[in-house]
Amino acid sequence: MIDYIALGLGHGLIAFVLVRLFMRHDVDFDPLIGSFQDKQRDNRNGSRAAGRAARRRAPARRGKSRR
Amino acid sequence: MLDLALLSFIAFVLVLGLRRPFIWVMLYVYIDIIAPQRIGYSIIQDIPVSLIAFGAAFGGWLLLDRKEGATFTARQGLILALLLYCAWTTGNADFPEAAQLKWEWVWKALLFALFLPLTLTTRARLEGLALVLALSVATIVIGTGMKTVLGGGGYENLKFFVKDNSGIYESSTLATLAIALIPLIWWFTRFGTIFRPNWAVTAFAAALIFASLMVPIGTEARTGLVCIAVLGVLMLRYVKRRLAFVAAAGVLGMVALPFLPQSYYERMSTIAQPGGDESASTRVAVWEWTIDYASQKPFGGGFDAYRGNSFTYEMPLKEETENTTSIEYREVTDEARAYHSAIFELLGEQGYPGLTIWLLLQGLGIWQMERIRRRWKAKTDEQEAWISPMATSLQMASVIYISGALFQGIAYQPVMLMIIGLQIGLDSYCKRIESERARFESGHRGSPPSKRAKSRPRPQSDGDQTGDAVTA
Repeated sequence: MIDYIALGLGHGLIAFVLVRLFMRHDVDFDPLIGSFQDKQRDNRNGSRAAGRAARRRAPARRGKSRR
Repeated sequence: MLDLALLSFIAFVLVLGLRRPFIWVMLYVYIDIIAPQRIGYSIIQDIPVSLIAFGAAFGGWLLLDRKEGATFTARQGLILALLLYCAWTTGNADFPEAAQLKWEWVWKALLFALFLPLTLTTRARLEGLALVLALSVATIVIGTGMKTVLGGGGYENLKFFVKDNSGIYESSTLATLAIALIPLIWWFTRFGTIFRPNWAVTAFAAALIFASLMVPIGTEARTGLVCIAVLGVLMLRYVKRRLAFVAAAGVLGMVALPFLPQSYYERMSTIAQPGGDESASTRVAVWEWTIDYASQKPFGGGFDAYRGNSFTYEMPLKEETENTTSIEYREVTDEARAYHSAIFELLGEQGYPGLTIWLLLQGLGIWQMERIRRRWKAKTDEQEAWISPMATSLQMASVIYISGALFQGIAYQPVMLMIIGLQIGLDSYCKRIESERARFESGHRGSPPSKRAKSRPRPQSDGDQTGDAVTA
């Protein structure tokens, strides 16, 4: 009887853990590491956008200074 | 009926793993610890559930899982070296058939320990695996604790689900692992995300710890008492009021004494007097034999090399007749006496190279966990505050296991190899966070001119200066 109680309780808890993990997105994607990667990507995109804007501005300014 | 229930559980987990293959890794952990195929009586014994789970875990990782963050570390290299070395000694073993039998489970345990860290790439995975491991051991511990409390204990009397006295179902091994996992169980009451910390989790953990402490009493395993003592000493490092802790432990021990059975006292008394017990008295003789054997065969004699030993010694035998107790010394000859120590098990079976690899594997784990504990101790953010305590609990598990392993041949214990896998996974995870953070911070310092401009006076730019700012 004790064995059945222990087996039932143990298996019930393990099943609950596995179902909880099954429903969690962060099992495959770590939020902390992901947040650093997202920020890095944002920075990179930001610097690229700023770079493109600077390049766009540069010829115009060079043209103005020649005049 | 029991077989059907166990098979249904396994089938259910296999289905869950189709979407998250990591669940199959946890299924293997559960099967390897609880061994449902040995609990059942009929059809489950004929189905290779362990092989199916291992195939699913490895195949799932290889074909379906994300491998981002999976790295091969130096400690995995040590496990691989030990695996290859064991394969070589098995090929040159003194007792080839016996060696082959042991090799059949050792290689699986080592290979899984080698593979496991590759899958532990997120916090949820680390926690999930630790929880499934703890709950699998808990399933055995709960039954053992209940039987002990209800009076069903006793040396070699306590019945587990599996009655073949092997693996974790060997009383001293179970006692060691039950005590080793206590710090990890307590960790879940503070940092768990699967079962969020609340009074119910704390109550269950406290009951489970009580059941774990009952295992050495119920099984009357002397090693268990040693492990409890080691746990107590280790806890002195972390408790705030040490004197109060020592006093409370003393009071608790005194209160518990009247509830302990007489047979427990008798068995524990042989710790200090090893001559009174056959198991204890031959240990020293086996250890001396192993040192001699290793001097002749420094590269090891393969698994179960102890089968070649033989000792003759005098053992006191007590005879009680009414009011008198007489002690008679009889000559006892023991053959093929097991090592009774992981250190001597490795020395005899794998020689000095195998022992060195194993000691490095264990020692590096304790050192790595200490490094993580110190480095992450100051973190208070919820996302990082759990790391240092988990390292502490895994370090304590290692130290308690090694203390217990000094008196048992459990060098290749699968549960301990899984804890080593967890330690490697945690170390790799921390390194990944540090590297991503460093990359982010260096990028932050270098690249975004729009943000940097806020904190720095904007140069009175002409075209060239603007260009410099962008590329800086």
